[in-house]
Amino acid sequence: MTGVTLSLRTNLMVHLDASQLGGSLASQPIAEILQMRLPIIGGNEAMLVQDIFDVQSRTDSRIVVQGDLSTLHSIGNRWSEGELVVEGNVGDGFASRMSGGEVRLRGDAGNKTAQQMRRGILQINGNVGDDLGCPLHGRRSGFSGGTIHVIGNVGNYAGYRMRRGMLIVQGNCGTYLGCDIVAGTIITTGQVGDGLAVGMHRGTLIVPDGTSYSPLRFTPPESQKLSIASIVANDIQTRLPAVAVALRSAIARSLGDLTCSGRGEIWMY
Amino acid sequence: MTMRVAGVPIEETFAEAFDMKATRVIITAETIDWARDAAAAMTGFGTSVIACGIEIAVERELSLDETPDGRPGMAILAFAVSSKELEKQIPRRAGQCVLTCPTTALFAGIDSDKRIALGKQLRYFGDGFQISKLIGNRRYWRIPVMDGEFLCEQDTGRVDAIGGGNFLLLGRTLADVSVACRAAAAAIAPLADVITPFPGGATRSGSKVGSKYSGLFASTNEAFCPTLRGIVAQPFDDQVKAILEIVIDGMTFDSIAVAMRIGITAACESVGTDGLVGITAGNYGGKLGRHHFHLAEVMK
Repeated sequence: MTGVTLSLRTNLMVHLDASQLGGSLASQPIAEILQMRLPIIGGNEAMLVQDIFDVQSRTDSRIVVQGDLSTLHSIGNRWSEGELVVEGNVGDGFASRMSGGEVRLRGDAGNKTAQQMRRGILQINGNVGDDLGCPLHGRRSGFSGGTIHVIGNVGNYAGYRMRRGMLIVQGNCGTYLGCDIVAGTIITTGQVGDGLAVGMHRGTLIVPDGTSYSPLRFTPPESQKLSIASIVANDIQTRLPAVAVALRSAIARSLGDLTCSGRGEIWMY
Repeated sequence: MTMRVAGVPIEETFAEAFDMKATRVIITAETIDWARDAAAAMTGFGTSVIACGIEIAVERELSLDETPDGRPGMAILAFAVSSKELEKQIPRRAGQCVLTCPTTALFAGIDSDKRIALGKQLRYFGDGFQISKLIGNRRYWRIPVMDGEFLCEQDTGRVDAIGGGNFLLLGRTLADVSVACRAAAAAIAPLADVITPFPGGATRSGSKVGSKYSGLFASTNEAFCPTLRGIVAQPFDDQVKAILEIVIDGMTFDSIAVAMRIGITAACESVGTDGLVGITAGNYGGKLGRHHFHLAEVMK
């Protein structure tokens, strides 16, 4: 399968449901991609991919989407195989329900990015809105496998009800990071807003030394040297080498959220 | 023409070895001493499948950059005749010998689709306070213990392997054959993928299949006992006063063959013809094990 580059011709004035630009797009022939219909949100019409994108085949197998895509929502929805590269800002629901492969975004993403993601690698070189990795509406668990790496800031409620996987934020986080987290690992290198790990059941939040959190909800930090921290360090060595070094020595560890009998932990490095 | 190493004749025969199931685990600890202690405990009473159920020994010590958590470590190889026996022995030994040893952690040492439980069983010691951590595609269990946490990987791989590679040193005196035996075991010790599970790498109780006593499926091999000379037929002359056997289990045929060559060479060169009358190997006529290590080919 050869790849394809989709370049947006003009800035769109309407909001489109672009969830078709996801799934197993990498294995579909170009002719089929051109005939895909992207419904107008709030309307009863749709636009064909060939009407709004210039399409070029590529020598490699990547799918590349370019342009100001901030009115296109749910790009990368259910992405399951191959590599998707998006160059430009995107709307809400980016890489939702992703279940494999690799998605790279060079730009900012809206709200509800990677909601209910299950597998694969998502890298975002830009900022992300609220509810990163949150559950789909009405579901109990959010992000449940794979790796999300944001080189930028994220909004509120990142990692809400996260169940598995690794969420890395190389920037600042809004309020309620890791709220109601069930399991998994969140690592941040920047500042964190209020409400850190409120309602935490299990899982690990790794935050810079000095990050504040409720002393009513978590045990006092205690210096510990853990073998598992070295294993985490190995895993993030290439992405966060400075944090990896810090994790190989003693960390300050707190347990909680005590108000809900949580067995989660906050590591401060 | 008889092959010779340092003048010592190598008999034209073969060692007969068997299919086994094997696994490797890695023990790490805060210091190499604790890692050695845990490894010594885990590999105790693991010389022969005849009564121990498992043949297990230290494969080698690992440097800091070879272990998953960057601490001193030991690689341990274990062999059993069935996967069921391996599945029984490994968690039991890990629980009693590694979990109990201060500062240790336990990791898988080999990848395979077939798995042997480690933390998958030991986690229950945590009584609900254990923590699971999935990193990449590997699951770890963190069990709270009195010195902190016992970190244990979920399981380790199981592979097909070979047990029972061997050679026998025919000595002029017990002292001579003991020196030769030590030299062979020392030469084999640094090799990867093989272990010599008997004490010091050698055994004096070479066995035959069966016994005059019902219920025993192995007994002393009288044909190789010098004290029975004149009573039973023996395949060597009266210069031979003591015999020791090196038994080698390995992950592959080639790893055992290499270990046999290196061990035989070291033994012969250590005492020469002054100490050794010859080198031979144990077999059952080729009827029991499908892996035959012909000494002439091994020594090429």
